Amino acid sequence: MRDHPERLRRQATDIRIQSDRVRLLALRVRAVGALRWRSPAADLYRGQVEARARRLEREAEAGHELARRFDVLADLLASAPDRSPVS
Amino acid sequence: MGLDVTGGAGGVGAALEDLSAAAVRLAETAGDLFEVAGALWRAGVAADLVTVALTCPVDAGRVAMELAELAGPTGLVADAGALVALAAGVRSAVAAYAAGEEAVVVLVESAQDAAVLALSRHAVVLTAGVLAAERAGFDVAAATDRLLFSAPWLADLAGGVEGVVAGPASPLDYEDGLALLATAGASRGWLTEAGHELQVTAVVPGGRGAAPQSLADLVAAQEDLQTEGEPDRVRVVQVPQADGSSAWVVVVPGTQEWSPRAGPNPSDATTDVLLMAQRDTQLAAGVERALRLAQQDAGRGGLGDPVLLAGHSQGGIVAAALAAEPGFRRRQRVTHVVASGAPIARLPVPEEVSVLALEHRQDAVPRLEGEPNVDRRGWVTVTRDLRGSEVLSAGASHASARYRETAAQVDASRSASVVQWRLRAAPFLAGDAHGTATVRDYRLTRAGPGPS
Repeated sequence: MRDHPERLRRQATDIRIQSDRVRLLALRVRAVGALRWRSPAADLYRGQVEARARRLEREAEAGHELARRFDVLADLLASAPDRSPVS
Repeated sequence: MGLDVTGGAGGVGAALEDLSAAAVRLAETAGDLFEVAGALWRAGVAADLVTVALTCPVDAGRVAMELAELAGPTGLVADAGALVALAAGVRSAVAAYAAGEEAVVVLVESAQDAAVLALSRHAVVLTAGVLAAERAGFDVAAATDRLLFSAPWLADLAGGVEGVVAGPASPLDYEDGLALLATAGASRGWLTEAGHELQVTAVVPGGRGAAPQSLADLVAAQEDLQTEGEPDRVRVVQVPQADGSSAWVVVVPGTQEWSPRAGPNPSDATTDVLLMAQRDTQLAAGVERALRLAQQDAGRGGLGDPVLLAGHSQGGIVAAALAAEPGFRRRQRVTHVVASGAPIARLPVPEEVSVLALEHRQDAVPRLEGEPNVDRRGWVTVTRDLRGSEVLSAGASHASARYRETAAQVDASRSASVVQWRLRAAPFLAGDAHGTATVRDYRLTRAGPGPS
């Protein structure tokens, strides 16, 4: 139990890395909507791509929020008395 | 300005290519998202939230719930699924469009073959009617010229030439039809270059003799090459580049001789038929020889400089035919073709060669192969509608001077496809920006007795 705060912080870092990856994927999705094509069908396509990109950006934000909660949890755990069974 | 731009960077073909590439990227992104969801789950497992909950049950419970929302079936997994669906939808749309295009081409070709066959079966009646009208003082040629101007699609029927020899839906294609006509003509000494050999002679540049700095200049150069009563010239312009190399512009003139019997001037009807049948011609060989002579004269033979081939009417066909020939492309790095008023849709110019085709809607000549130019990223077709101008006949629509006006309009065009073409063709239109451009003209002449 004593190493749990450190473990939680490591996972928070991993989650931040994955969230940044999602942010990059959102950019990649937005880029595929950038066509020169001009037509109602193209507008519809661009709309769908933009919606997917926005949603991924929100997921990336949620991931960073989750990482922050992991850090908070690690702090709480570090300040709490150790209740793990003594061997 | 009455310009209709198809193909090129802003065309449907390019959009479909982009969409296909986009579908691949979307599917790849979905795969990456599945991976991210997996990594988040693993982070949750490694954090051992169940043990943490013994100390901080409320906070650990909330974190576990948020992790499940983000990495679970309603979060990133759902996002990945939506991207897969979007990629599949895009792929289906592209496939449906391509299948529809193909079906239309087959339908049009079959209709052309049938129409031309029907006309050929009534050739005697039609000929008698024409002769009777001529005798009555009716100018059939002028009336046909005006008719083609008001109904330009009639010229598309020429695309069904194989229908004359084999009927509709024949296994023969357009080139086979023309080759059969050429073979039939050769027995009478027509449409054959047998017994001739080509001579290429350097001559003093005619007309303005200036290096082209715009599309209008390039089209205008074709007018410099024609001298009444003399075989046409071919122009080779060496344009110095900033890095010390050169770009080469080759300008080929249009048809001058309309006799079916090959004479001293290779810019004739025989070359037209052989080019459209995709056969070798002395004119095309002569153009290549003129380019090689100019490069050797400049000490730049075999250095792989980029080449732009340009021409009006037959000149455009020669340009596209050379660009379509793998042997020529091995010997010369042809990167651009500019054709005005030329039927080049069926010539297999590869994608790596950028094509700009100028056409007038009322000009019958660029319609003679009976099919539209391909719509792809490297092939821009600009069509100008001459209705409302002072031009009133299909013949006048084909004039090189009219194409010079159109080229000037294209120079001012802000169409995405044209702008992209202009950027890529800039090295050829640099004029004297990086040193003095050199203009060399060559006269091409057929010598020899002709067919025995």
